[in-house]
This record gives sequence, C-alpha cells and structure tokens, in this order.
Amino acid sequence: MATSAAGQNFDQVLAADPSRPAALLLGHIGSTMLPRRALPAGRLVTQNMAALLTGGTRLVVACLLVLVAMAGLARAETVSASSTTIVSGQSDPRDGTVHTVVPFLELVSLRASDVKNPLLSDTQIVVSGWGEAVAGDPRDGKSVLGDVDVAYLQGSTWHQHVSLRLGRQFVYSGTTSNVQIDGLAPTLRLGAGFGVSGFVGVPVTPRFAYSRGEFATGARLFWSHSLESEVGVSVMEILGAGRHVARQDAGIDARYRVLASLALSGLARFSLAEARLAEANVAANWSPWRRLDVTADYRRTAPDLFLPRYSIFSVFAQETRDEVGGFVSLRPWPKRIDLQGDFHEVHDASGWGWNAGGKATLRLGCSGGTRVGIESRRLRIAGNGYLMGRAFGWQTVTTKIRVVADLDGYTLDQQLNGQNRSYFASGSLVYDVAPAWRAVLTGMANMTPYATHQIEGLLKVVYDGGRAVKEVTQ
Amino acid sequence: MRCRATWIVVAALGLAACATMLGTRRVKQPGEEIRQSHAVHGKDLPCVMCHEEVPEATTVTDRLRPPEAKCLECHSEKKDQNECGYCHADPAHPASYPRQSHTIIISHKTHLKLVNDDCATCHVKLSEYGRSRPAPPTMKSCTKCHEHKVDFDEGRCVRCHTDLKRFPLKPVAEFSHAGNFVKQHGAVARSTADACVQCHDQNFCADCHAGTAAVRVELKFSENVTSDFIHRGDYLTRHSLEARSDPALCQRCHGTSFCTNCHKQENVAPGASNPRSPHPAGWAYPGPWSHAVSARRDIVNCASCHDQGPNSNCVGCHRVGGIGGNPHPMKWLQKHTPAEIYGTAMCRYCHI
Repeated sequence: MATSAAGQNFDQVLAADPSRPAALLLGHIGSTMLPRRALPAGRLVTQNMAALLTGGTRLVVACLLVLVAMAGLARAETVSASSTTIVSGQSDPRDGTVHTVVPFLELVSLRASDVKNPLLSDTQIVVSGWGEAVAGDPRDGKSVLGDVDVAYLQGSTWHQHVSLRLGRQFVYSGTTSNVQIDGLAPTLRLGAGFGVSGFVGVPVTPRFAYSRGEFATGARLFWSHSLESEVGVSVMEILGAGRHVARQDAGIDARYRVLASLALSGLARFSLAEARLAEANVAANWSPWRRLDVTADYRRTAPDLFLPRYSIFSVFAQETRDEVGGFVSLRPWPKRIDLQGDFHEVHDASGWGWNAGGKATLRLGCSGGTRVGIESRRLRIAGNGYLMGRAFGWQTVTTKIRVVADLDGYTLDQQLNGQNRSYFASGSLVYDVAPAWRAVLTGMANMTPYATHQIEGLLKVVYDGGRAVKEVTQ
Repeated sequence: MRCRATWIVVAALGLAACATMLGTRRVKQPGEEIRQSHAVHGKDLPCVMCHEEVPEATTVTDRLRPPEAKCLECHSEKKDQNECGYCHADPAHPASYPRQSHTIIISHKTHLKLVNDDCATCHVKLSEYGRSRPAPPTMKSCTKCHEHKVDFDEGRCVRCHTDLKRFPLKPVAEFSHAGNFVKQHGAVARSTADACVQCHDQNFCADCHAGTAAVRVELKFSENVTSDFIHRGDYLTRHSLEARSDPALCQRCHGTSFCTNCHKQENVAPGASNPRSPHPAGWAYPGPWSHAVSARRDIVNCASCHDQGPNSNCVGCHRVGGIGGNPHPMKWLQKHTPAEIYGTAMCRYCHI
C-alpha cells in the first residue's frame, strides 16, 4: 500500500523480530565509527531501516491519524491548508498494449503554527500527504496508494539559538543536496553569524524505487554574513544495508552577494569513498538592471559517483562531465514582455555537445488578460539530439474564467521506434469558483514514437487557503 | 491487512481535507463580539485602567485584553440583572474575545518605557465595536523609530515578524524569482536556506522534490503553462536523451531502480515477463556499436536496466577469466591495490 517505501516487509520483519528496528538503529549509529567495506555487488536492499521506520503500514496510518487530529485542531490553532482533488482518465500504452487508468487522487497540505508547548517557541507542524485510488489497470498493479511527503514538527528554543526539526523532511544544506529523510535536523546558532547544523535519520525510499540507504547523517559548519551571503563546510554519509557506504562526501559551499547587483555561488563536493571530486559548480548572477539578469556558470560532475558505491556499475566507468554556459533574462517592458535565452556547452567522454534554448512571453490587453509565448530548445549530444518548439498561451474570459493552451513538438535526430517526431497538446479551462477555490478541467493528447495517439482528461479541484500574496517593500 | 490499511489512508486523507477546509475557514463565532467603545472608555480612563497587564507584557501572546472581571468592576450590575446584551453582541451565545493569531514580536514592557507610557504613539487608531476591521498599529508606527531597511536588506524578518509564511506579506520584488531562478534555486537553498524559509515551508518543496510524490508537478499544475517544469509535454520520448546528456541530473532525484521498474513494464529490461533486447545489432561485440563504448561513456544508462548486482550480465563475461576481459578504467590499479580484492565482497564476484 504505502509506496514510500520498500516497506513491504515491515510486518513480516517486525513479526519475526520485534527488536530489530531498535537494534538496527543502534547498530548503524555505532557503525559510523567503524571502517567501511563495499557491499556484496549490487545486493538489492528490500528489507531495511527505511522500510521498517518509514514504509510500514502502521507508520503511514499513524501519520495520517496525526494529520486528522491536526485538522481537528484547526479551530484552536492557526492553520493554513490546501487540498487538491484530481480525477483523471488516461490511456497508458505499455509494450504495445493500451491500458486504461483512472486515478482518483487527493492531496492535502497543512501547516499549523502557534502550537503552544512548554519546550519550544515558534512551534509549527507541517504535513503534506496524499491518497490515491486507481481504477482500471495501474502500471504498478496497485489500485490503492497513499503516502506522506512531509510531516515534521519544528520549533526553536534558547532565544532562537537552537532550532529543531523532527519528522519526514528535506535536508538540502551543503553537500547533502536535497535528501529526504525521516529524522532529526537541529541547528545551533553560535553568534556572530556562526552556526552548526546537522541531521540524522533514515533516507526515504522514493516511489517506484529501492532503498536509498538505511542511515544518513551529516553536519555543516556555516558563517552567515546576511540572508543572501553564507559560507559553509559540510560532511555527510549515507549507509546502505550492512554498514556499507552509499555516499560519503565532504564539501564547501558558498553564496555571497558581492554587490547589490552581483551574487556568486559555488559548491565543491568531494567523494571521500572514492577520493575524487563528485561535483563542483560556480555561478555568477548579475542583475545590472532590474529588467536584466545574466548568469554565467560552470559545472563539473562525475556521474558514476551518483550511483551507490555498492553498485557493480561503480567499477566500470570513471567519467567527468563538464558544462559551461550562461543565461540571460530580459524584461524590456516589465509585466508585458519577458525574454529568456540560455546556452551551455557540454563535454564528456563521448565528445562535445551543446544545449541551448529561448523563450519569449508576451502579455496583451489592459490588464494582461491575454498571454502568449513561444519556446524552443536544441539539445545536441554525441550521435543524437532533438529540436523542440512550443507555443502556449492563456486568455482571460471573465474575471473568474480563463482558457489555457499548450502545444509542443519535437524532432529527434535519430529515429526512435521508427519515428522522429513527437507532438503534444493540452488545453485547460480554469474557473475560480470562489476565493481560495479553483476548478480546472484539462485535456491532453499526444502522438509520440511510443504511442500513435494518447488522450488524457483531468479534472482538478483546488482549495488553497494561503494563496493570496501581498507585496511588502522597504 | 494491507488493503484495509490503505483504505484507511485514503479515507483519512479525505477526512483531513474536509476538516481542514472547514477548520481554516475561521470566522468569528457567535458571541465573540463585545460591545465596547474605546471612544467612550478612553475619554476619561487611562488605557492601563482596563489593560492593566499590558505594561508587563513581553509578548503579544500575553493577555492584553481585559478579562471579564475587569469589566465587572464597573458593570457588575448588568450581569446581576442578566443583561448579557449590554456587553455581549450575541447574548444567546456569550463568549470571550475571539482568539487572535499574533503576527509580530514585540514587548509592550520595553516599548512603553520608550514612549513614556503614551500608548497613542503607536496605537493611533483604536478598535470600535461595529467597525469591520480591527485597528492595530500599522507598520508605519514601527518604522518611525526602527530602521527597517537594514533588517529588510539582511532579510532578518523574524526579528519582528513571527514569520512571513502564514500571512500574505512577501517581498516578492526584492527577492526576485525571475530569470534563471528555477535552475539556480538549488544553489540558493544549499547555501542560504534561511532566505527560503522566510516564506516557504517544506511542503512547497515537496511539490517537485518529494520522492514520495503522487503525481508529476506538470500534471498537478497543468494550467501553469508559463512555469519552467522539467518534465513538461512528451518527456517520455526525450528522457533517454536528457539522461545521456546529464545523467547526474536524473540521478539526483531518481535512482536507477526507478528506471528499471519502468523498463521492466516495457519488457526491455532483464527480469521482465517477456524481455527483449532494445540494443542494436553488434552490441555485444567490439565495433562502433559496441556496448563497451557506451558503458565507459555513460554507465548510468546501463544501470537503468542492468543493476542487478552479481546477476548483472556484465559479470558473466567480465569476471576474471571471462571472455569480456578487464572492464576497469585506466589507472584503476593506481588507486585500488590487489589486496583490496580480498577485503571487498564486491570485487570477489569477478575475482574469484
């Protein structure tokens, strides 16, 4: 049922050995101090801490009960919420056979603040989850699904010098680069801009995938000059099954606003397990004029280091990929014309390639009620590539109704399934039913190398209590 | 058990959705209006006569409004005579003042000293019964003394504002998300996450970044045709090209097993019910279409179907003594000594 996770074995494992979760957790904490060795090649992890702690039926049900309880608190606390209901019907071609799938999806997002408690100030609870019932022939054979995307409690203490976040969350600072975990992330602000943040927990297993590891931990020491200028050094480690290293990185990251119009950012991530650079990038963002943004960037990656170290494939390739280029955004007539363009030269073991694109958006009418745009992109890599063209637009019919259209097409350099053209079209009718309520009816059709034709319809009803934004300035 | 629990999940979500929508539509409840006039009371009485706890209040969550007992010091006869309507707008449902969420961080205790106990310095306009909106001090009252520009430039909003997430106050123009921000936001979040959390909670991130997400963001926001979504349109057709162009970009969110699961459905990966090879002729042998060239160049692509560990078909040919020969890249031995083989289980699959 719950798709987070390779949690299918939760009940069996727990039934066989109720003490296993605690033993595993203690074992992993202790293991961080021990020498590592590689996992037997490519062992697939189907039974792990992620499964035990995050994927189990019981945990998801428990989280949702908390969610329901929070909903009940809505009258007592400050709660903002959004709810999205989506019903769609689609034809799903798989290996030459067309299947019909009709998912009914409910997504709920909540934020409760002013949660009074004696321990923490500024306490907030944030939960985002979904449930889905699928009629027809779903791709993974599961007709009822549900999961929790985010569920954490956050607060601070000691005059905001210490902040804590506990639960399912993203960790994105420093070398971690966005890992979703179930765990704890504390931050200690030492003063004078210095601070230490850390995290410990279990990586969440993505849908449709195997475990990302059983244990993750990391720390970052930072110095913050202002909200837009900060430098940090960090280390992180993710362990797979049996104390085997999946990732072990150290790095330095920085973003610094040198001038009001110029910001520099960079990251160097070093793989400790492989003793080589896994990723490095530098970028300069220059806004000499409020209507002009220019970005120049360089990035080097070692794609094989994005595989777990215990994958058999990690012994085959030793690759670097370099990318250098820039981006320009120009708004010659603000809120009317928006022009964008980018170009990146790419070099890897197969040779040189490039990726370039442009986009122009134009707003018409006295209140910008009509918007049209065109976009194009060309990707050229060794032996292949594509050229994309796209046109899109919307028209406000009344204050509450607008229609939206989107057309795009591709020409592939090399044929795929005997075809080198792909076309996609979509149209939406948007109706703002009431303040914070919106209904959207969307139809999509495509002709691609994978399907001679494919049609999809989607009805969406959205409640978003926090949509309004009021600009504040200096 | 699994099916039943799953239905519980769906039902709970539906219930939560309904409950939260009702809960967040917080309206003033019957009886939560008190017939009180600052114009009348303030004419003869000092503020602290009624708001007697204010001079010691260090937060706005402290009790700043007078309790009923304070009113009864003068108006007790009305209660004795059961004239509830004298104070309560809805005598059938008498209640206290509505609960209010606090939006700023301020100590009345400190500020009263600074303004010589003159409340009107900040409270220029006072609330009155029957007026549609309350009349708290505006931000102009604050900036008469506080230099807002410095805090604004440094983004230190939480020195005064509890946060900017719950309230529709956002410095949209200053912290511009125009231009290349979609591609650059990772660098911003990586090094200066505090800037993001002023306005965004992680459920905002989850729309795109949650590995547990139910639906592609392009479908969830199908009407947002101007947004720079990554998987827009017929991404399926070009996904292999994008993956070859920048494999690390895909790997950052999708593990190789993500690829394998789908490729099995399409019967183009080992382990499928009726697998068939998608590779061109001559793939297994040396030559221009040899798998060796592609594997060295883009091993992640191989892993999207063949990452079955010791069962991967590469091991069969490339193990020591196999017909495939040594698959390691150049300079491998400079970093990995032969002694490592015996301590590393992965090596022993080939080095028997």
